[in-house]
Amino acid sequence: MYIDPHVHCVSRTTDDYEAIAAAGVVAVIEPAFWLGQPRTNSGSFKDYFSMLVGFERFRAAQFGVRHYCCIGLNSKEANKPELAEEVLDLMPLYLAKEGVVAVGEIGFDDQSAAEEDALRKQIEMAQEVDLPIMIHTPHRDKKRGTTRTMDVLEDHGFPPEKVVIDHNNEETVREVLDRGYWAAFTIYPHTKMGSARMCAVVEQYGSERIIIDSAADWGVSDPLAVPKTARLMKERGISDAAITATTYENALAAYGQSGQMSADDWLNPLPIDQRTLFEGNSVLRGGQEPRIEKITKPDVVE
Amino acid sequence: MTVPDLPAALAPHLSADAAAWLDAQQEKVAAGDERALFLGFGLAPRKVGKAELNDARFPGWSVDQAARIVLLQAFPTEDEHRWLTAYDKLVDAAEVREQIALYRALPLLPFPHELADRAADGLRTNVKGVFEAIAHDNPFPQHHFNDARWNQMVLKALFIGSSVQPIVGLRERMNRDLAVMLHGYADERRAAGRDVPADLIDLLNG
Ligand SMILES: [Zn+2]
Repeated sequence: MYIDPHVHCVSRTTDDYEAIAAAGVVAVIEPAFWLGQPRTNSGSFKDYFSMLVGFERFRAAQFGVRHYCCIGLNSKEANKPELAEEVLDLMPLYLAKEGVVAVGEIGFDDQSAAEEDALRKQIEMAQEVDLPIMIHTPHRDKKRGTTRTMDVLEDHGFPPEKVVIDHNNEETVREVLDRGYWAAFTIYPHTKMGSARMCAVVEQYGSERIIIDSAADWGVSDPLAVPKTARLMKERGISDAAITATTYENALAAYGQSGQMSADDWLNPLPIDQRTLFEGNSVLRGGQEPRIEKITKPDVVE
Repeated sequence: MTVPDLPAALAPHLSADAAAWLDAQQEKVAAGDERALFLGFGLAPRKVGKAELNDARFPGWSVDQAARIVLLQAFPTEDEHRWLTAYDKLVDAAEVREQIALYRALPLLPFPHELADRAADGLRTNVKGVFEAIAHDNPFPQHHFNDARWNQMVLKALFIGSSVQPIVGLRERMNRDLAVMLHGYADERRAAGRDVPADLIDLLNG
């Protein structure tokens, strides 16, 4: 059983849902982010947020995958002040909804003043509604941007145990863990963090507060990154306990603090949820053993 | 159409804390506080739980859905435009179970003529549970849909593999146009070498 706590499902196909379900992913978390094409008005955000709490949850459920989301204004689009203001005004309408497990993904891109302003306002929102935060760390000038993000969080007195700092690498992980945060790693094919480097991180730092995700989106990415990395960890002799912690338990513990996500959701779904929302039952398929099934499709359309 | 008393059906399911929360929230909403309505709507499952209502007058309802609708029923109706705007905002931002609650509640809500348009919009969904909240065990379509809307609903139920038996008024609302469409659909299935659903055969045989 795996949780992939960072996937942009709206950009993925039904083939991906079939594949991750077959590989044992029982739940995904979809943070609100940039869509590639910049949005020009707040109505686009409203419909996007509605999609995350609405249709995408349903679509995932059809494949037996439980879908949760984070609501937030991403750092790139925080740079248009008027738009940002309107989006921040919309957010309270969504933060209290079922299945919203954090404010996110928020943080820095260019590390501009406008980005810092939106980050601070959203930290305050998370405090107000008592939700965890998912942090996107910048891809450029990452080390300093990560430090600065934690400084801002601490400035607001936000508890580090309720924050997942994502997109870590070997340069950032030590400080993030030392300061008490959850450290998530996004497995990107070809560049940045790959499965082998991830194994080395777990070998060096252990499994406490370390989380693995795919961040699969509209770019080159791999929605099977979590089960594939789990399989590699197993091959390299990393303990089952460490594999389970980094690919399932830690994500559940971190985002479960929202009160909106619990193992019962997929292990013992309420009848009312089964009827209206969650039709599949994907559990008990994988156990702890990584098992990536090859999806064989007939070569004619039936 | 008599409207059963939802607050009375809900009351036995509420703990003292939940009842106190709902009372307080209801009072704010009744004073016209739109924000209290939106917030209460979202928070309902956390406050009252998600147990089944188990009440034959509200088939398939859960406690949180009932609480949500009790709040909506408390919102002032003197200003029709304001009420409908609030309803639209709830629908626009609704997650799946909220949508289901909003559509199941149609027979309990004011301004049915205006809500008929919104119900027809709701039927355009791809989410089966939302479609069935309108189409199944719900007397609203029978009383407030014209033939064109009614016929599309019945045909779509068959088309998406939902059942038609729970549609309230299925026999009473049968009409010539619908019969033509149903025969056409059965022919189309046979021509494609696909089976004709048992529900449809029953319906065609009257
Ligand atoms: Zn992302």
